[in-house]
Amino acid sequence: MLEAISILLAWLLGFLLIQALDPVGSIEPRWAAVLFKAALGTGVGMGVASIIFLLLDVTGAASPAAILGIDIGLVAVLAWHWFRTRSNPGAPSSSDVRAPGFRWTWLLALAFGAVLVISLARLVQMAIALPVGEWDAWTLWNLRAKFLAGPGDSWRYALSPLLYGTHPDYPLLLSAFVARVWEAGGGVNEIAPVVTAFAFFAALLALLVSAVALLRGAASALLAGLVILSTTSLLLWTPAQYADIPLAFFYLGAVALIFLGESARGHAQFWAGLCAGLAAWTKNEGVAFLICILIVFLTLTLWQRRTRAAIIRAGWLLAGASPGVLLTLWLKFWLAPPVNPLSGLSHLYDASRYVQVAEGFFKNLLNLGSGVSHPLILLAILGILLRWKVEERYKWPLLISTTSLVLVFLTYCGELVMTPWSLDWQLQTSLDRLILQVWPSFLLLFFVALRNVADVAIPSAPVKNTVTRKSPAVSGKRALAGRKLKGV
Amino acid sequence: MQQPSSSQALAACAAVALLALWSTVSFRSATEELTGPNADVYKIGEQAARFQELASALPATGMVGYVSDVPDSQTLGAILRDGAQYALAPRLVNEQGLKAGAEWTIGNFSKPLDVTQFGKDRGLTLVRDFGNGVVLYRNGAR
Repeated sequence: MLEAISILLAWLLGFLLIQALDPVGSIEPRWAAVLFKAALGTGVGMGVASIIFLLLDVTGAASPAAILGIDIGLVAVLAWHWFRTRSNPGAPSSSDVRAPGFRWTWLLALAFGAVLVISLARLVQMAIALPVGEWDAWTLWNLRAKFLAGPGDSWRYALSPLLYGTHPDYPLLLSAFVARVWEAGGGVNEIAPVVTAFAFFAALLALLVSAVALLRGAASALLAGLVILSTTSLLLWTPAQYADIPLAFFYLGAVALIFLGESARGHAQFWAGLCAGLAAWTKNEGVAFLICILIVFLTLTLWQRRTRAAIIRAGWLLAGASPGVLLTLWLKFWLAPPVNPLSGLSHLYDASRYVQVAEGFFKNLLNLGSGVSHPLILLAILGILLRWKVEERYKWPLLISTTSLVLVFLTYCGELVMTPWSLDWQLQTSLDRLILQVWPSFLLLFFVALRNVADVAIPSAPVKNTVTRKSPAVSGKRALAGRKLKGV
Repeated sequence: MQQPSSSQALAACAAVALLALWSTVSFRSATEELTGPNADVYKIGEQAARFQELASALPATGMVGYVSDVPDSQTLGAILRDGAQYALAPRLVNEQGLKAGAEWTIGNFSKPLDVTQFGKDRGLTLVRDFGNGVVLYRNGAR
């Protein structure tokens, strides 16, 4: 019971934090804005709660009363702030909104619902059959959670070089969150890591669907949802309880918020920075993401757009990233034993390793799905039939996000080339997960660049949301245009 | 670039929806085995029960030594050691526990053998054999 309360409090904490510095403002559709904030709040809440727990743990103050007391206090203050400010009418969004003009959106929603329910049912069955998760879950992530939830100074064992085959320098977000739930509940159980894994999966899915809905409309969002649920390797890794899905969540959050920062009044860049920082606090690959996105965003912003507003946005991004940066520095330089990330530098001169990595990449790309329903086939169908149309306001964030993700993936490939372990083994055991980490962000970029389904159905100019909702005449004309197009 | 027609949009959506449904059905049939009793191939779920009695005989935290009849270099050895570590955490289970001065050492065996002699050969005194390959030793030098 206390475990469930602690998870709920973490989500509430995240949701209310997001509400306090609203990243989406009054962008339509509202259901997508609420879903986006709820999804983002899930990951941010778990991240922030894990940081608070770790600080309590290393200072010897972690106890169920302290964990729940701090969470309840923070939630109460944030809820009070929310109720106080929500009575003020929000400033209307300056962004345009597209009408939900595709008349078959309901059919897409039906297909998405069916795919979601069937997939979730199977994932739950898999989690019940293997509640301890896959190899890394019990040799690394949940093992470290047990140390962190242990009495006295046992948290130090989570960073001990004596642990064979684990990575004592690995970031602690996932382990610390699971440990927090165990500590709050007063004991170790198998449910907490399973619920954590499913919460991140659900939040990832909701974040992608809601972000695409906010940027490109409901029909495109449902298509994005169908494509990500066709990524069978993503489904397979969900009950494994690895940190790759949480990492993919934070990558996607950062990328989506960079887009939303272009069209929404709010604090999207702050949350983008926070997501990038939390990515670095989730897995070592996240450090590469944090560095790449900061460098690309700051360089392009300061080089191309030297406006005051752009510099302020860059400042918000840096401010958001600072907790993750500080935690990562603390872990790498003070807590964990030193690790040399460049130990395999000499491998860089071996050309055959590059070929091996490239082959491994294409092989693992094929393993994202299976047969005719492979997600790449789905994307090809959409690309060929709907074609591309990047809105002017999304060109800049598209450049930043694409450059960052390409750099991140090149860093991954470089790390693989330099690995001191067997390259074959490394490619077999990790490359599919490295692809998965960037896959949801890639899908977001794809759907932002893809022509909106509603544009095809009703090729009319975007209409201000206030007009859309208040003028039946406009809705009538749009419906008429839709009917006329049926015969095209 | 010519704008696609609404029938193209409908075709794209229908194809994606149908293929996604097909993908889900395929996923269900491909993962049938992962929902059965053989999903836990390393039998990690059974280790908590296997080590339960031994765990209650150990201090709640601290380092404990580890010995086994299967070397860590073998996959089975690594599974045995990591399974024991997970079951006994937050205690740190380590082969170097003996050298580090740990009072207790656990034995984790894959087959029946003379556990008393196995311990003596390594300077360990048998405290209790819990059965099922789980043994508790005390560091004999102490």
